[in-house]
Amino acid sequence: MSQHLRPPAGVIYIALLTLTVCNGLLADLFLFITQRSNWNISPVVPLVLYVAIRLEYMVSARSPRHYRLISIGLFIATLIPSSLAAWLALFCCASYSAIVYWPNNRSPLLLIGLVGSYIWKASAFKLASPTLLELESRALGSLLSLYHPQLMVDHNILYINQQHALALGLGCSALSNLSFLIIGWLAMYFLNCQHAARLSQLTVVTLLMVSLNTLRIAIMSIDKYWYTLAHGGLSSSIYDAMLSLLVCSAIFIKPRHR
Amino acid sequence: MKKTLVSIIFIHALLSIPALADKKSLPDAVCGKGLHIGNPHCSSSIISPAPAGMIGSAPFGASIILSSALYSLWRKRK
Repeated sequence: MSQHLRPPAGVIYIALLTLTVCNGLLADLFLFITQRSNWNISPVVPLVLYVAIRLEYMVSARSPRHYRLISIGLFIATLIPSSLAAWLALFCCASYSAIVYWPNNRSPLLLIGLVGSYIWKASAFKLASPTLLELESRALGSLLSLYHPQLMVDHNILYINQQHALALGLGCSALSNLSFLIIGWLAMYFLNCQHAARLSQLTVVTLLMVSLNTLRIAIMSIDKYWYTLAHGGLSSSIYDAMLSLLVCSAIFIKPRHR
Repeated sequence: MKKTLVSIIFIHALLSIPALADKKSLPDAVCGKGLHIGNPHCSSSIISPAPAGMIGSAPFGASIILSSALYSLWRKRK
């Protein structure tokens, strides 16, 4: 055990941090248990949690009093049966930690990123979806019109021809998974090396993800046969595997030499 | 007393955001319209296996992320 994160304050902090994240995931777990949704918990979450705890071990000494203070906040968060409350409490605790121990704050920043990803996907993106999906549909429409000259866009619906149209929903928008891709990539990067990530590398990963999503929708737009093929089970798994490979691309980055 | 009341209302409003977001949001996936394919996702609120879920929520994607993380740790230890 590290001398900085020693028991009992450090161990209680780790336990409460894990419990708070579990509380945040309860809504998804409940939907899965009641068979109202498929398994929708990403392995990016335990990965981020593990890397955040690992980074916490490596930082310079933080007082047991600091961990005790954070633990009180997290303890309250575990008692409230609300996913959003858990994420918000984690956000407050991580922000406090990031401000107090600036600039040794990679671990709390990773946690803030995780919270932001969940709040974005569960609330903010849904609220902004009518506008954002219309903009995305228009961008996709202008690109696909090179291949389909008759294509028309109405809100989030792409009318490709008289027989075929696509409605772009939340799950197939590039913006829905983007935050998780970035936070997963950063977690994998920090697992691999200790230096700050380069913005250019992150931009390349983001652009690759958007291109992959565009390609998938372009395949769906060909006709009904291709729509079924690209939308169905195996293709969906292949797309998911490609996104996972993008997350894992961070382990192939060589650490910078100073 | 007034402060407590305002705090309670604020927290309640904050916690009702996901429910509001569910009402305001568009549907969850790309659905073929016109001569429709009949994907269950497009005709009901039950989520079909087709739309993209969370990254790595499919078994193959999850195993890629897990094995990459383990490989990274193994390489570091080596």
